[in-house]
This record gives sequence, C-alpha cells and structure tokens, in this order.
Amino acid sequence: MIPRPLLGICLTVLVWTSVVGGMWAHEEYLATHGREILLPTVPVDPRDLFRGDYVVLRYEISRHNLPLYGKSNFENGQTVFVSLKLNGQNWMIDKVGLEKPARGLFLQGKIDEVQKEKYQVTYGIQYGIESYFVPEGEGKKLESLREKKKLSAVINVTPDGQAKIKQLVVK
Amino acid sequence: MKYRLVLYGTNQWLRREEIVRYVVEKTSVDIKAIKMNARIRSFLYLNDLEEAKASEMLAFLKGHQVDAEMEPQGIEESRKGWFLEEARKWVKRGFIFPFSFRVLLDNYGLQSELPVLPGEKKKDPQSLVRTILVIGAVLVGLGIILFIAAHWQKLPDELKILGSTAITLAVLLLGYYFQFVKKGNEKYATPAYLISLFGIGGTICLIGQIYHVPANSHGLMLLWGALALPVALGLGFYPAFFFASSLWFLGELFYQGTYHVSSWWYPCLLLGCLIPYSLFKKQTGLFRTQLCFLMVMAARSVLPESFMAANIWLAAILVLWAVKREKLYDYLVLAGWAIWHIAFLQKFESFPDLFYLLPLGYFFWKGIREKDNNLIITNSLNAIFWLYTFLWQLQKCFSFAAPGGAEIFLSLLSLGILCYGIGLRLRGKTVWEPLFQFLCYGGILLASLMVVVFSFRFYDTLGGFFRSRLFLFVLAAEMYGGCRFAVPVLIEDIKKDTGRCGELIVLGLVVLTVAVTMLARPSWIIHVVLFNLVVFAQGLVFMVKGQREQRIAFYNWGMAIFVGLILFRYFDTFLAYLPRSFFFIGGGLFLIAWAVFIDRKKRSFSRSKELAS
Repeated sequence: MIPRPLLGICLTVLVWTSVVGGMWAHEEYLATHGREILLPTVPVDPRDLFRGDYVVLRYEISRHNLPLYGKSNFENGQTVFVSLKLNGQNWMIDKVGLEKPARGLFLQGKIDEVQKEKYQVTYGIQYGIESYFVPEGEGKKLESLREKKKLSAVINVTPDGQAKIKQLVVK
Repeated sequence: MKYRLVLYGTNQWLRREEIVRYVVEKTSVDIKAIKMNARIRSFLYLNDLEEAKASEMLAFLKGHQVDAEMEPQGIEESRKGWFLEEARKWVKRGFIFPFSFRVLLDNYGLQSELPVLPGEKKKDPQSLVRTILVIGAVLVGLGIILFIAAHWQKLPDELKILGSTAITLAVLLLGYYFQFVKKGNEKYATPAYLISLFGIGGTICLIGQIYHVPANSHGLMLLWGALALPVALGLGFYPAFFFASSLWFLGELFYQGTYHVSSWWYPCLLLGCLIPYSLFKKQTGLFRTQLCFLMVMAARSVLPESFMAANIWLAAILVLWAVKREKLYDYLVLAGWAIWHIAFLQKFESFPDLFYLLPLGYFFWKGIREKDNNLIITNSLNAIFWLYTFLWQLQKCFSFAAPGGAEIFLSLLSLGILCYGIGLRLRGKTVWEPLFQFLCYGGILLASLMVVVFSFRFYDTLGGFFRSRLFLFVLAAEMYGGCRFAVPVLIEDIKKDTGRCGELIVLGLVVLTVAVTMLARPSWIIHVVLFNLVVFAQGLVFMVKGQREQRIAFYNWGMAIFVGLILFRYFDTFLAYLPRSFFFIGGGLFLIAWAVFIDRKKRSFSRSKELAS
C-alpha cells in the first residue's frame, strides 16, 4: 500500500500539472480556434494586483440600450448571448438574449451594469476581452492613442461564442 | 553542606596550562566540557565540593591571579520561601524578566520550585525561527508575483510557463523532502510549501497575463485557492486552508467589484464546505476566520440593500443571542447590528440612527459590570463605526462639504491620539490591562499608520484641508481630548523620572505637525518633512525606552520603525516591478538563510550546554 504522504505529494503534483497544462491548452484553444474579428477600442491604463500593468479596453458593443417596459430584462452577473452584425466595417450588436443563437456570429458575455433611465435601460456587458496586459509603462503609450481613436483589437471568437483578445492594432 | 567555586574570566585562564591542569586534576572535569561552557558563559561553576577542598582550590587560584569565589551550593531552607515570593514580585513589577528569574532559580538549584509567573506564557523555543521562515517565504512569494507582474519579455512565453511550473514543483518536492524524508527538519517544509503555493498562483497568473484573461479575475483566485487544497489535505499542511479561503474571499471581492452583485458560489463554499469542515475538524482558528469572512460578505451582500432583509437578519441574531446566552453571540449581535446599521443608513440616509446607541450602551454596561475587556474593545470599535457614520449623516443633513481623503486620515490620526490618551488613564489598573493595551498601543499604532501615510507625498494635490468644517471640528476635539487625557499622566511620569520625556516630545511633535498641516499650503513640502521626523522620533523613543528599561520588545519596535522608514522611502522612489521583485526575493531568501543559521546556532548551543552541564 502506498504511504499517505507519498500519495499526497503525487496527488498534488498531478493536480497542479494537470491544471496548469489544462488552463494553458484551454487558453491556447480560445486564442487560435474560431473566427477573427476586428473591434475598434478605447484603452485606459490601470494595474492588476497580481499581473501588473494592463489596459482596460472599452468597445462599442460593451454597452447596449433597450427600451424599458416595467422590469429590466437582464440582471447583474447574468450570462447573455450577443449576436453581432456587420455594419459597413464595424461590428454592431444585433440582438441580446439569454438563449444561444442557432447561427451567425455571437459572443458570450456577462451583464456588469444595469442603468435604468426614464424610458430606457442601458446594460454594460463584459466579454472577457476587456483587459490587455502590457509590459510596465507601455500602458501609458497605448492610452495616449485614445484621443486619435486609432486602436483596434483583434478578437478570436470560438463557435460557442467565447472571445479571446489576440492583439492590438494601430491603424 | 556542599560548596562550589565560581571561576570568572574563563577565556583568560583557559590559555594558562597550569591552571587548566590543576582544575582538571582536582575535579576530573572534562576539558572539552570546560571549553564548551566558555562558549556560552564567561564563568565556570565547579559544583559538589567539600569545604576543605574548595578552600584549598580557592587559595591556589587566588594565588595564581584567577578571579574566583567560593559559596555554599544552594540556599538555606529558611530563606527559600522569602526569595521565591520576592522574586515573583520582581517579575510582576517588571524589575526583572521571567528569563532572568529562571536563571536565578537555576543558580540556587531551585528549578523544581518554579512558581507560576504572572503573565508568562509557555513559549515555543522554535517560534522565532518559524516566524522568520514564514516571513521570508511570504517575501519570496510576493517577489515571485511581482516578477510575473513585471511582464519580463526577455524569455519566450512557453519557457516562462514551463520554468515557473518546474521551479514550483521543485520547491514543493523540497517541502515534502523536509517534512517526510529528512527527519528533524520539518520546520523547513513550511516556507517551501508557502513558496510553492505562491509559485503555482504565479504560474496561473502568468498564463492569465499571456492570454489576457480579464484583470481582477475571480476565476483565477478560485482556481488558485483550489490548488492549495491538495497541499492541505494530501500533505497535512494546515495553513494552506487559510491560504485557500483567503483567495476565495478575494475572488468574491473581485466578482462583486466586476459585476456589482454577490456570487452564488461563495456562500456555497463558506457554508457548505469551509465552516462545516472547520467545525467537524474542531479547527477553531479556521472557523473564526470563516465567520469573519461570512460577516464581511453579509455586510456587502443583499442585507444592507434591503432594509426588510436586514431586519429579519437582526431579529434572527437577537433570537439566537437570547436563546444561547453565550459570549460568542454577544459579538454576533454587535457584528449583526453593524450590518443592520448600513441598511438603515441606505434607507433613511440623513435620519440619525440613534437605535444603535441601545446595543452600544448595553454592551458597554455589560462589559464594565463583568470586567470583560474584550467586549468593551469590540464595542469600542462599533462605537467608532457609528461615530463616523453619524458624521456622514450630519454632513448629509446639514449639507456640509464632504471630507477629502486627507481629512479622514487626519481625523483617524487624532482618533489614535484620543485612544492613546484614554488608554494612559487605565495604566496600572490590573483588571483593565487588556483594555489599556488595546487603547494605548492600538492608538499609537493607528496614529503611526496615519503618520506613515502622510510621510508619502500623495496628498500634494488635494488642495487644502479646510473643505469639511465638520471634520476639522472632530479633529480638533479628538486631538484636544487625547492631549487632555495624556499630558497630565506624561507630566507625572517626567516628575518621577526626567528620562521619560520622549513620549511627551513625540506627542508635541505630532500636534505641531498636524497644526502645520492644517495651516500651511499642501504644496509646501514641510508636512512631509515633519511627518517623516515624527516617524524617526517615534523609532528613537522606542529604542531609548527599550535600552533604559532593558525591554527587548520596545527596542525591537524601534528597530522595526527604522527599517520600515527605510522601506517606505524605498517604495517611494523606485516603483518599477522588476527591481522590487528582486528586492523581495533577495530579502526573503536572506531571511530564510538567517533563520536556518539561527536554528543551527541554537542547536549547536544546546549541544554545548548539554555537554557543559
């Protein structure tokens, strides 16, 4: 019979390597499989507690307005599916719903803000593509491009709507 | 009666061969043992000698210019009781340390008569080494996180992930080796496990950084916490539970920060896993920590937003309290009432919550009646919370200007001075000793923290401190109250002993600095200089006090303040991640090496002592 400490260390090593390997593979899959789209974005420069400098990216599809009929449709923390349509060269929100769309390009997101006004409600939606990590000090340079509005993000979207940011492009 | 000889200046006479030969011949003491003794003491005892033999040896040694004394071994029976009783009082009054008392007992052969010493706790002799090891490991761990945060691009991403994983696993295996393979070195497993826990977190944060996983991701914290569990359960490393639960708590805070709503999984983890586990395993520390997390989460969840839910919550706690009548539930009521108070504030805003005065008054009365220091301490914290929210209500009610961050910090500084002053009034009253320590040392700590905050130059741009007249009034009142309580006591101290003027000087310096801060323009650098001077003076006072009263704790505090002052200034100037990470890793490794060195020295000394005795 294997002694308990030996079993413990084997288990820990196995779990740790599997999780690190699994997470790496999953992130790589999200970044390489699916369809690439280009979204114009606006950067702001803050810091993460554990991972250093990054830029917060805001997109046009980060906010969505709907007319308010009584109760709002979505709540904070709720998962939503956002169908996109191409309007000229820009991707715009076509429809937001709780059901996964059967076809077309769509993104999976979470409601992070519900702002009710008199006749309409504005939803903030996070897609997991709002942070772009950069070497220390680089964030300020990217932030300076905000005024010129020339920054776009290359996003990879998997068939089930998960998005992963690949890179930032200066037009 | 047996006699003994005491030979001083061992290191000098050990070089003289005729003396050494004589001592060895007469007493058959091993020369190796004498040399071992010389490493830890400057004198040597030659025990169990007949009077005639002892006198003869003394004459020989005196004739050869060796400083020696002869004395009866032990103490007369009639004097024993008197000595033990007096020495107990000396310890109680702080004339001597418990350690010195033990040495005295040892000297008179009274080790078996050791009475219970006032306020002395049984100390683990290895605790210093363990503490330094843990601090070193945490520093290395933070260094690893900072290194990841530096986003160093000289290495390819794949190499960084593989390297980080390999190093983490190697450190984990090292911990296993110390704990289970190499016997007698179990304490070295703790820093290794801690570093590996930081390392695995660093690795997943690294992957998150490379693939731009959203910042402040609760998912990463959940995963990191889960990875600590195999170490806790499989390897029996109990602190990993605290590590995991703290990360999950942080994850919940991140989740609430991102989506502005409480998660469903954190209550499940707390109520379904951590709290039942800690109860089942009778792990009181873990249970209390989780209870604190639960209270904080309750304070941030739906309870403060829904007044009805908060009422039900408070009613439930009051029923529990009425039924159980246990000490723990007094504290639950205080915590629960604080949460209800937040809900009240949200509902009624400017209407003053005077209901809160009911539990505050009741528990103060109960604490004083039962001489329960802890209850009064907890109640005092609640009272401070109520006071500040009351100020906020007044500000809303009478449309006062909102205070800036600097004004709040300054009022906390003056609150620290007030607590210190009240605490001084309780000095010497045995029954209120814990309350005295909390108010006096807690007040000093709070005021010192605020002084440290102001020793940075962050508030240059705040544009003056006169925005909130309400906070200006509070600051002045607290400062006046603190001085009113403290100054007479400090003057009395100086009358008894002029050397104790340090505390009054520091208090005066603080008052002067606050006054200058209020009057001078924020853009002038004078506040920063004065606040740094206060920190410096405080360190100096602690060191002088430690030196004069021969109390190592004060001396260490003084040293810590100086080290802190240097560190703060370091962070003030060099903010780049990479040098900071190297600084932390280097500092942590140095501490670990130092702890190992101390440990080895201790072992070598105890071996020497055994041989010498």
